[in-house]
Amino acid sequence: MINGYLDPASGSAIIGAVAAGAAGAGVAARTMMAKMRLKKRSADGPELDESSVVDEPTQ
Amino acid sequence: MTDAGSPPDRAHSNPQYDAGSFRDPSSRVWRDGDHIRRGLDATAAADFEKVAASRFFTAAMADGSVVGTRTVEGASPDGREWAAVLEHDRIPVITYAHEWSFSMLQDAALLTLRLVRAAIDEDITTKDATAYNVQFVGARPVFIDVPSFEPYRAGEAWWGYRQFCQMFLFPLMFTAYKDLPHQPWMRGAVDGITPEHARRVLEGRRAGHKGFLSHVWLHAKADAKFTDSSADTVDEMKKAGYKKELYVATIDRLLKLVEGLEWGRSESTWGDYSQRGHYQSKELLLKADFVRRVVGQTHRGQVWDIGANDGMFSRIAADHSDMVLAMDADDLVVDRLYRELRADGTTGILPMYTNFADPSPGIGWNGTERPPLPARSQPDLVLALAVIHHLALTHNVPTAAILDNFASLDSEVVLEIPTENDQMVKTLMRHKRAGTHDAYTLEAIESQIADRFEARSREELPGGSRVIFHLTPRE
Repeated sequence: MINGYLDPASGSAIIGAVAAGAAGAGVAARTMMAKMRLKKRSADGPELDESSVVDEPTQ
Repeated sequence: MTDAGSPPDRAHSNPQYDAGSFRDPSSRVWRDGDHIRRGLDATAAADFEKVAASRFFTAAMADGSVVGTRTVEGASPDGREWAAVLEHDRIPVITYAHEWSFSMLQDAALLTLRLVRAAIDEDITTKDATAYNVQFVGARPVFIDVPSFEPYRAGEAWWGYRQFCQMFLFPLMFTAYKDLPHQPWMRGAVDGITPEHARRVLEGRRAGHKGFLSHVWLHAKADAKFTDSSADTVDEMKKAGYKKELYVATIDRLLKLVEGLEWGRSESTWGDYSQRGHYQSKELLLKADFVRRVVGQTHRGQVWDIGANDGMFSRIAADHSDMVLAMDADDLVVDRLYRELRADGTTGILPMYTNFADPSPGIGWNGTERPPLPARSQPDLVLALAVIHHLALTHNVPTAAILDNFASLDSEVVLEIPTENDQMVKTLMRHKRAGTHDAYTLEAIESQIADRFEARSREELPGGSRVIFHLTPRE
């Protein structure tokens, strides 16, 4: 976990918004969703660009 | 976030950076004689200019809630050319959250939040929220970390939120919700209580307490799930609609939560001591007269009152000294004394939770970031009134070691010795193995005193079982 001095890490930053009440909880939820989408995308690996695929020469 | 208040006058002849001033690289504190100075880098200096021009800061300095601060010329200890040098009013004695009572921690938390709330109206925020940013002058909290204030950048959340939870909110919740003293937890970790640890302690049947769900449970879960730097999150939160109004709402709700926290305990071991049923009234009056005579001989800088309880003798000493540290190992009596002093507006007595048999060690980096008490306060007089038998008989500290400790403080001592015939001594010995404390006799202790101190005066109290001494250290 990143929790450096003067850097409270994302989890705390997001929950700081939750503490603001309903409107803040909405912001926190959208931020978490965005983060999870980003995480999933990077876990799936980069999307394949078919134009970049070059057939290996056969011998 | 740094100390530099009151290291002993007998040390620090050369300017040197404060050992606790390094975490925020934009500024450092040092002591130059009696002056507390702080260097600011170019960014911090520009920020300070804006902060110093704000209405909230001017008002907070005027009413004493922010330490008196001015710009001065001055060389740094290592020759570094700081963009600006500030001088702060000196805090008489530096204390830490692990030495504060519940109400002291609560007042420090409220001061932090009220300043943050006032600052944001002028687009100023704080970059952190550690309990080390607050000190006490007597029973009045003062915010000392001036460079923590910086201009607010639109769309950013409060960067101090996590620290505020770890160092204020969670310890207060421990006491308010679980009747757990916060002091051992805060003494155990310089950064306070993590969200996960708070969750483990607070969850359970009574987890429905105010603030638990968001500040503790969700906080712990989010902390484990989203581990990247919060700097990366700022833009995502802005895109998700974070605005200054939410920042304000966070602070307002925290204020309401902290204001509503109460410690329900009303009884403790020493909670009824002020009735002093074990003293005859004449004995107590003569003891007070003795103390009054000693403290009235001269004006002193700092006085330690060890085992101060309701502060009866601290109040006597306060008339003739700059600051009395009223120490006690019972958190409830310290809290009561603090609330009384706060109501009186007394500033010459600083209540302090301290078990003299197990005093605050140095904590943090190198064990010097937050040093032990003797590195922060040099007493001119120690009041050790009816504590020696508790140290010797309850904690099994040899009386010679206790006297060595007092002698090492190089100060005058008013020492009250309950003798082996004293009722309280007999009570304390009752549950001890036979023979364990045979050496606890007035004769033996007086002999040990003579090896270390000159006895300026000696008086037997009327009950016949207690003797009081005014001692000065041998040259």
